Amino acid sequence: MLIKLHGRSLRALSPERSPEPFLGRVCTNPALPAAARSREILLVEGPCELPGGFRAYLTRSETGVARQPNVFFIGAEFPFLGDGDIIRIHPERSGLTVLYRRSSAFNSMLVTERCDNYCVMCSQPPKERDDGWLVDELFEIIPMMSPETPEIGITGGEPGLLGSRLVDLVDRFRRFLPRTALHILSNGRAFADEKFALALAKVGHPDLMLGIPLYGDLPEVHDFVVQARGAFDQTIRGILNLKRHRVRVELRFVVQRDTVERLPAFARFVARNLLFVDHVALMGLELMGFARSNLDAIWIDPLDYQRELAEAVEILDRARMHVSIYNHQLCVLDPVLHRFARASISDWKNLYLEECARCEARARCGGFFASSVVRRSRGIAPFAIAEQSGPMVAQRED
Amino acid sequence: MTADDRFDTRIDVQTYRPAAIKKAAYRVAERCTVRLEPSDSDEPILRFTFPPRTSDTAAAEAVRVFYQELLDEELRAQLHEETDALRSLILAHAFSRTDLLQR
Amino acid sequence: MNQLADTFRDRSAFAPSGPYRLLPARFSRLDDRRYVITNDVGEYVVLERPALQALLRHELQPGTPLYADLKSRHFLFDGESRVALDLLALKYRSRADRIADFTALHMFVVTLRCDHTCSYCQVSRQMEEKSRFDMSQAHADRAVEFVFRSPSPAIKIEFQGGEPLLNFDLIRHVVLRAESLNREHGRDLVFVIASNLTRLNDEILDFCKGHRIYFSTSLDGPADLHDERRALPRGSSYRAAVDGIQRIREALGPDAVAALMTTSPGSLPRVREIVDEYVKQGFHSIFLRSLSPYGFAVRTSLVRRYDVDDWVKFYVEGLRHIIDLNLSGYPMREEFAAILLQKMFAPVGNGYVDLQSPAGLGIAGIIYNYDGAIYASDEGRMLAEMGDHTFRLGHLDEDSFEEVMTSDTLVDLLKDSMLEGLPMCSDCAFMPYCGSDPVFHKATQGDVIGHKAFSSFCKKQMAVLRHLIALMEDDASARRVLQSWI
Repeated sequence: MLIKLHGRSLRALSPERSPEPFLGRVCTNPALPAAARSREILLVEGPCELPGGFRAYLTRSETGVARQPNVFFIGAEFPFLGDGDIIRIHPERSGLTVLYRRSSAFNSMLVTERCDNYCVMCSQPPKERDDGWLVDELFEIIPMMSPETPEIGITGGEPGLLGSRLVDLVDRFRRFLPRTALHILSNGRAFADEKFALALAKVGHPDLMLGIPLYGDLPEVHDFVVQARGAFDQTIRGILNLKRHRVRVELRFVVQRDTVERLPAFARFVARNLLFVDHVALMGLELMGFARSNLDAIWIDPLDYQRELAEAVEILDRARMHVSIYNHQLCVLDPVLHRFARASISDWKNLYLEECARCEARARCGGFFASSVVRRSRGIAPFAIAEQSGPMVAQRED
Repeated sequence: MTADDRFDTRIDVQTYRPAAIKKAAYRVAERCTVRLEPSDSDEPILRFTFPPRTSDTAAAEAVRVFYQELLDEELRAQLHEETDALRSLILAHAFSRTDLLQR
Repeated sequence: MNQLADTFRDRSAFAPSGPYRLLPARFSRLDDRRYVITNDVGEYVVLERPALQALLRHELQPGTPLYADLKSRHFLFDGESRVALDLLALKYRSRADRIADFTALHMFVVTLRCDHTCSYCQVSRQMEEKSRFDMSQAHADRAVEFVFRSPSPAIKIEFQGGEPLLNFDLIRHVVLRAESLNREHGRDLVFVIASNLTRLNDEILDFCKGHRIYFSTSLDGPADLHDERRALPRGSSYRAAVDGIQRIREALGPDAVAALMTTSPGSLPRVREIVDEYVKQGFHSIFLRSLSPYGFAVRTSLVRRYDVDDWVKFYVEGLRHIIDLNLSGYPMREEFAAILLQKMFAPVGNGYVDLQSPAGLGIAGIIYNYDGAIYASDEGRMLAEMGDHTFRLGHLDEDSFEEVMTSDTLVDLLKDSMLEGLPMCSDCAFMPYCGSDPVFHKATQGDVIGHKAFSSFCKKQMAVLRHLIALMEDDASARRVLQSWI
């Protein structure tokens, strides 16, 4: 399922509109007590009388001029919108952005676009500008999120650049959403400062994990991939400091042409030096941003690195580390690796190809990044179930 | 070479440091005894003494192994000189702060 | 075509600048051609002599796979990167920290009596009738108190003899007493009975069912080999062992019994048959052991009757056979190799009592003799039977656990067993995988340190380690099997 989370085709139906962008939570209950309406945006299907007091109104049927302020026609767009979703409306630009979906198992929040790495395959290229409003907005919407939210991801840019503001943010999540797992994607460099790592640890968030990319066992490999000299040392020290203060850490290794050669050496290095990390994810490329502009320089067909991948997984697994393979379709993976593969691609950006319709393994497969259509593995082919005397065994269809 | 059970030769103590000679001698102690004896020249005498009934072949092999060990010991001495201070630094660091795996 | 967009710098911009520096390491010969170099935390690289010389002379070229491996495994560092030092310190500390959890193994000699009359027996046997060779209940209770004084989170109590089942009442008493104390202490507590199984009966098995009790028995190989050395006045020791093994498996489960073999001169040409006997009895593990120089063995000078070289041949042939069994689909592990491989490849090694630096004396295992005397190791007790009391740490009637663990006897022994300070060991590449075995050297050379050039322990260790490293380097199919044992 590929979901569009942003659109610019709102049509204002009321003459009276907020001049500034505003945030609100989707509500489909027109009978909501009036006292509870001020932050809610009422979503209605058919033409009806709109009760007053809501922050704004979204309607799927075209009606005439509305009496209430901030009434917008959205037609059939954003069909998934439902109770508890949090959106930003930009009346000037006719824009609607979905920030949080209550029904999603994983909501990802961008907190800054600034970054001190400049990774050759970055899917979300950094922008050097003051974007403090992003985190301000997140502070504002945290109290609007459902306490039942299973997991929130914090991404950038580099969230570590927020400094103490990041610590405050994690604390706010702890207070408002104590049952929600929090996953922060960080390059870890900022935590080379042990005081910062300690400050984050002291928040005492009950379910916090930092996903930190490490692209090799050698500084020259990692520093090249992230295009920053000294980054390897800082990232490793960051990981050590975080673990020293009991913050959970996941390593994320992206397999691409420059990293694949030392993938087994990387696994050995991790098993020897960083055995205490909580998870290792070996990931396929997401062909967006720089990954797309550098495609020919970084692309390697997953079929061509199965030996290295299998060796690395075996080393980590043998060391009793928790290891996963992300962003790989089952049909391109060596069968011995299937039990490590996770359907990891966020639901709003994954899709399946035409041949996937016939594939018996589809339910277990993460599918593709919507962006992956620009380059695909030679190995893509549906699995057919073969009847055997024993249990069902999936085989590749020739 | 071994008319009796002894074999003398001179050794250049500029090339081989005495510490390395002693360590190599220790390593081959099962095959022969090696001693440094002073001499009239700058080069002391290296005296190999073999256990009774050592064959010529075995004696020659013992001397060969000694020189092989001596070359290794020279390399080891070089490695030690360069890294001993670092080892102390690493150990000091290792025991100066709380450990990651401490529960 | 395959270039990065021009806002990016290519790999050369991130290559380390300047010369490299060496990190602390040790090297030894692997074979005629190659060396093995190791660091303090047990990582290793195999390289040829010219490469070793180039490395030490700072002539190694960056960008080569060898350079990358040496750098990755912390034999050198370069450029501005210094994080190797942090990681080395951390690894060193992690290895050292294990010592803080001392004394996981507590051995109780519940009786010295035995129904066998083996010529080579490692324990001086006594007649079955004489109950003055039984441990008293008072000593047993005191020893159980000692057990829980040790900080180890995992505790194994092993009952030894003589033949411990001849004093099963005391075993039962110790198990119940330890379990009762453990309700407060909450350790991971298991029991092992080291028995020849001749006295196994339903009453014993019924009791074991309700407790975490395992058996360890002797199986030296095929019947004739086993019975040749293990004299049972009435009946076959082999029969008793294999019948006992089956009964235990049926009563307590397939993993409830392990077997240990003792190597004798008669074993040396028959390693395949010995391994096959273990397969026949359904074992998936065997420990190809060398004969220890204690107890009756020294007196009958069996040790000298075969040379280390013969044992190494025996071991290498046995290991080959075991690897081939694995390759043909029967999983089987050789425990000596497994212990060494874990030391080489598992980041924190393992706690095998006989290969530690400092030695496992007292801090890995401790033994309470039938008469209340406390020894630093099982072999130390055997030496005492021969009149050498070097490894006697005290007595249950006279000393507290703290007094025993901080006694000059133990502390001096431990100091003398730190390989980092021993001649030859301190320069040996195999040091991180080895131990000092002070009892062996006291028994054979009269001195706990010993001269390693004369030590058959040293020869055996080096030969096996060289063989394992060569297999890992040169034989891909063997490597896969060996890796599965880690």
